[in-house]
Amino acid sequence: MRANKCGENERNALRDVVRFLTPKREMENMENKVMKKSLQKAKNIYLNRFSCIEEQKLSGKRALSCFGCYAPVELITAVDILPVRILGNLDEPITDGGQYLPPIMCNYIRSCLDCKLKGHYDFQDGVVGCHGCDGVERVSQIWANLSGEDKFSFFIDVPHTLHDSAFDYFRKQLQEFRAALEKYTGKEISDERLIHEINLHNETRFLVRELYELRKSQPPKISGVEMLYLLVALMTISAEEGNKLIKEVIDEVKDRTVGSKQERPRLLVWGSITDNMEVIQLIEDSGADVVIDDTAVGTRSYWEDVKVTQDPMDGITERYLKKIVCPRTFREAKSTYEDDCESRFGYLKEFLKSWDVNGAILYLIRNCDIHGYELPIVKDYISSCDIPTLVLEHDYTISSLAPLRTRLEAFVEMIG
Amino acid sequence: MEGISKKTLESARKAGYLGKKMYKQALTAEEEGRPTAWAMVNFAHADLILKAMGVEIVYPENWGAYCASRRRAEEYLENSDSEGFPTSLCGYARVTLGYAKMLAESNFAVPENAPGGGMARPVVLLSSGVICDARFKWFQALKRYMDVPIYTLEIPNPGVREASVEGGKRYNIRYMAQECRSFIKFMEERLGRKLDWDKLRELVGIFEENLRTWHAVDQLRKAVPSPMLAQDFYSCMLPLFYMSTDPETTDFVKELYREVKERVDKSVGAIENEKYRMMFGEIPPWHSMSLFDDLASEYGIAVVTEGYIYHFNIPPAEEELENASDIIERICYWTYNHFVEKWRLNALKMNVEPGYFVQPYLDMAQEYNIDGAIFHTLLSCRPACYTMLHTANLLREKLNIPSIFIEGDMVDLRVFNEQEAKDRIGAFLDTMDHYKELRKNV
Repeated sequence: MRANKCGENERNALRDVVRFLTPKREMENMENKVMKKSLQKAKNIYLNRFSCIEEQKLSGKRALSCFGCYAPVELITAVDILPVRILGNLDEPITDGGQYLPPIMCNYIRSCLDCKLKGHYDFQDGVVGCHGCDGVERVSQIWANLSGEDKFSFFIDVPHTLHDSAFDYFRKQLQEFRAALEKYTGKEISDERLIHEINLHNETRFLVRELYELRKSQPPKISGVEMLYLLVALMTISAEEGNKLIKEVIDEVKDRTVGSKQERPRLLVWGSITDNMEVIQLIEDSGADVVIDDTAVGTRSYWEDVKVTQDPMDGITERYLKKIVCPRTFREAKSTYEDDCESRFGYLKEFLKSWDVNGAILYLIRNCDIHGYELPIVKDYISSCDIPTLVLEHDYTISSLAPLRTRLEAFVEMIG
Repeated sequence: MEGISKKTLESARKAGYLGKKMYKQALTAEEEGRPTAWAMVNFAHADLILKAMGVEIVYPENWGAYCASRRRAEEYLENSDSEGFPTSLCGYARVTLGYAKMLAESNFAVPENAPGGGMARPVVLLSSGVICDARFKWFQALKRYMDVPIYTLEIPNPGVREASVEGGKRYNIRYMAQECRSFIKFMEERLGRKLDWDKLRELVGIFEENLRTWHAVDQLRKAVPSPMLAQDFYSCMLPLFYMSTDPETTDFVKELYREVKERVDKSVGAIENEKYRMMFGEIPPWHSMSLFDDLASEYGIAVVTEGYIYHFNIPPAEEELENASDIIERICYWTYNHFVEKWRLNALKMNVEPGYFVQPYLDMAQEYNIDGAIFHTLLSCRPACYTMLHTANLLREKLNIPSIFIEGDMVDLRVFNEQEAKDRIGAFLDTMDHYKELRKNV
């Protein structure tokens, strides 16, 4: 069953509604800020993801849709395929997705499938699924089922632990994934080529971290919204083009003097995926700057490199299983609650300190269980660092954003 | 008590005794200084190891269901809610979190009025990496209330095609066995004693006998009219599912088999007026189990089978068991059979994904001669519901079997409207009649 695409005009109309609701003062600040050429390019890619992918395919390039952070992009690009991260669309009401997924589940993942059913992912030559969270696991497989037997599909059963046996199991699957890609493309992935791809994607990660460094200044050289445009753009274009784009952005913003001279509170956003600018926009419109995050589209995807090991598959396995910090992975429990919290969330202390954070937004998409169980515990931990927190539960729709504004503004005023 | 099912089998009415025994054993063990574990359902392989090490086990998933069946879950749910855990989280988890908070506040004295006597304080928490995220996140969250070691046991859950690669099964069995050995080492370090391998072999013998008998009962349930329905199964489930190594379970399941076989031999159904055969997915409303009795008496609906997740009694082939490299691998074949092998080939043939969560329903629908499916969407268990619509679509498209959805929760009776559920199912009878005709004409 095909449904109509929610096209660019409709999305822009929805954005106009958001803009209408946004306080005039903030809108002026946004529009008066000179958007650099490179950031404008990132924004254009963000707004026109699917057209951008279709353009890249004109040269004959294939594209695989990928769920979550766990599909090793190095293996995909080693056979000259474009990995495209599957994202939802906050602007688009979930209609077709409702035929397959009940409303009690996470709306982000329902939105992803909704987008597929409406044809937005028709560009794909296949899908790479993974056992991220329960929702991603099931929907990966439903997606593959609906994509048809002529499309490539592979499901990576990512273990939940870091046991040695789990490492071996995961490594074996990645070997099979590699073999499946080779068979699909007729191209062999040599270790040399793989190392080349590892270095390429590590460069991306390094450059993204460099950009995050530019958010340590007061005010940050790049806003949370601008950062999100870029991060989504990176998940849409080739790594080569992406690295070029990040360098352009760094060059253009590093000496930037932008925004209000008044110092705004600095926030960390932790939690469920934030793949749409409206959420970050709402937070920043409340009078604060989002300077760092702990989310899937942000630092979790870029903070750790693949170590180049003698057998490159070892480094890839290690990075994707052990180094990605996501609540879907169970890390060995320490003896006391305090030690366990430190082991699980200690990296946040570094974020809070180095980015001089004044407050933390604990962002939860309704029915996101992975982050739901963490909520009181991460709140305990961040509070123990003397940083106030605000829990924001959101059902991943545009219309439910506006009611959050009052609470955000009150929180920002409190920490300001 | 309101909400409790009358059941149709004598055996089902006696099963409650074994449930009470399970909790009492654990409480007695704690009093006597013997270790107790809180475990997620692990499809027996870890249970066997724990029992062989002299550890009593209670299952918070079961305790949550038990509290719900006694309509006593609310106080624990409210406790959990007050701690800031989202109300959308697993109802069983919230019951346990609320209970654990009470334990922590009372210096771990089990509350006197806790249902079933409550759960004894554990020395270890055994969580699971399979079925749903709650099954390790919830125990991880319990750390807030008790400094108890946690072990998460993995079971592979590959996609259909990925499970079918050459050598995949052998590899996965070895992986599971490695996991078990790591778990044994973990427990030996915690308890300061070694696993009793002779005891393990003895328990495996009991386990295999019980599961084979249970499997035979499940085959008998396919008869028309069905001799045993869901309301019986959910009661019998406790000894079958949670106490598979107990010698009293051996007597229980043999008696169950005898009772069910007698009905089949005499062509006697569990209900007199079996007009419609239905299957139920996934988790029932434990607080309102009389629903099944009412569906039977008002509409002649026999719910002849239920969620596949509760049926891990799928005997592996004898040669596989004989060729297992050791007793640990032998146990793992049972678990793997349930998780992968039972449905894999059919899922490949029918091109169905996800395999584990969907194909068994398509298989059961054919094996049990089903007229329709009831899917119970649960406010607090998304994992049980993610694939229900997809399954319902496939049942209709591939087998001309319709489905009806009722909303509620396995624990929270406040969100379940029993009359509305019954009315909806009543209105669904014509749909089942229509599809019955369609299937005849195919």
